[in-house]
Amino acid sequence: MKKTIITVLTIMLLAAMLLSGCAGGSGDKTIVVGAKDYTEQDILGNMLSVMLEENTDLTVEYKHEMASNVLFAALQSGDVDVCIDYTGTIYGNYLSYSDIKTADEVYDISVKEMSEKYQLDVLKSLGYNNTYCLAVRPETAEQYNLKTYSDLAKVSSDMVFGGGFEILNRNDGIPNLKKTYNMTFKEELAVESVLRYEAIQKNETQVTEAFSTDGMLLQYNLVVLEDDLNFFPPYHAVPVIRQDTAKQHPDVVKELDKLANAITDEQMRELNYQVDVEKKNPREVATAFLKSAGLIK
Amino acid sequence: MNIFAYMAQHYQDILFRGLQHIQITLFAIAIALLVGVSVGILISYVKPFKRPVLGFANLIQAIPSIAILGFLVPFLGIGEKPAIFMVVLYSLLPIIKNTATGLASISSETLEAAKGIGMTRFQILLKVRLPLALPVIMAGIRISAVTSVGLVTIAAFIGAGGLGYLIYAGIRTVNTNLILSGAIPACILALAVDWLGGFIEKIVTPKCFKLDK
Repeated sequence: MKKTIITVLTIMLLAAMLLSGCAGGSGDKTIVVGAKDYTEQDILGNMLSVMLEENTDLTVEYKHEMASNVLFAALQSGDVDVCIDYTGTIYGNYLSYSDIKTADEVYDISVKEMSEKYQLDVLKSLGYNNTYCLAVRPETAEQYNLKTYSDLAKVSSDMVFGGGFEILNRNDGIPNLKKTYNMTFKEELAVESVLRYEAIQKNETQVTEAFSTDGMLLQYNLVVLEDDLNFFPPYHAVPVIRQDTAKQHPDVVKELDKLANAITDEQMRELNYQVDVEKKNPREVATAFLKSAGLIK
Repeated sequence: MNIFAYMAQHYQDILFRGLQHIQITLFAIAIALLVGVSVGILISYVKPFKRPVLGFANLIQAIPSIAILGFLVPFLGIGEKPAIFMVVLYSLLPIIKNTATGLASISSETLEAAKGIGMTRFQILLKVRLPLALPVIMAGIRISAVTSVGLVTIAAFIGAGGLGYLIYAGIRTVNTNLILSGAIPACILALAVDWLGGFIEKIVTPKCFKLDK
């Protein structure tokens, strides 16, 4: 009996050691790419990974499924070296600014303060703007004649809002949006990612959070309302890299600069559509795009 | 800001989510209790059902709760309905099993005596077997109840609200105080449920079973 116990414990110990050993080592030749927890980020994260793997001699470790603030914390701690974030998120969420500025001003402030405060370099924008938006079903828009958020504010107190934990709690999210537009909702439900679209389809929510480049917008034919008071800042996609990584790997910075203005709103929406609706593999979609754009061979 | 100051400042949110949490948990436990005990009685009397039913309940327990939630959403939508359904499914195994075990472990002499004084099968179930099995059944309900508090936490992920909402929001915004403002009450709630369960267990245990005077 005693012998059996010792044998079992030893095997368990060895297994644990082996598995932890397999967790891979990091070194000078590894770079960690980070991404958030939605489809677009997974596509972009894979794009970065494939580009760096193909065009540099670095090994890429890919960590995704992180919330924005979690990714930001990981960048600061060095658990992640590079990622794609959005100027609006940097400006409104990480830097907590609420005043309305132009896209260029938002970009410039992001670059300056991320560098000064966090030793993170914000590189050139990928070109497209993926802003938060509020969307309703066509029937709802017709019934209440909704075109703008101000229109919505007049009738929203009877409606259920569906959105993720981020937009419901962020500085550039729902709490301040409600204040700006004097808007209230009957109920605010926290629903993650594509479940939001199912929820509004089933009329469990009448207003939903959406991203302007969501592929699902194409499929579900939702009406995106206009942010007439310009509450949401512009959210241009930008590479963000740790300054020490940038110094150590100037070739990575060169690769990231190749992405400048490389993707339009429509292209990003199409890529998202391929993954969310056509159920294609994000890495394959990313690779196909890179090839067609001539960014990899 | 220290956590207690934070919780004091946000006590309204915590209260709101806490009440949502208790509501869902109580409802789910009530349903699980009714279904579980009934099925437990059923499989004690209808022997062929025992293995498939216990097998099914075992299988449910093996599936990760968040996977079951995700699976239920297309059918039941988001919010409380799939949450309650999921918690009921998870509570079934302890309750069914304990009910069946409790009913089976009554001494045959007792049952013979009951038959001997002319009790019908139904009377035996109601007046002899169930009361004697109650401590064991209660133990199963207690386990399910405590687990339910934790499971309802996960259900916030699909819009059910409750204390899990605060935990997820805190994780997403890297706000430790927010996480704790959900986790601490959830922990206290689980302990309270456990204490309550223990209290009920004690009062339903027939005196003859109690070892200490």
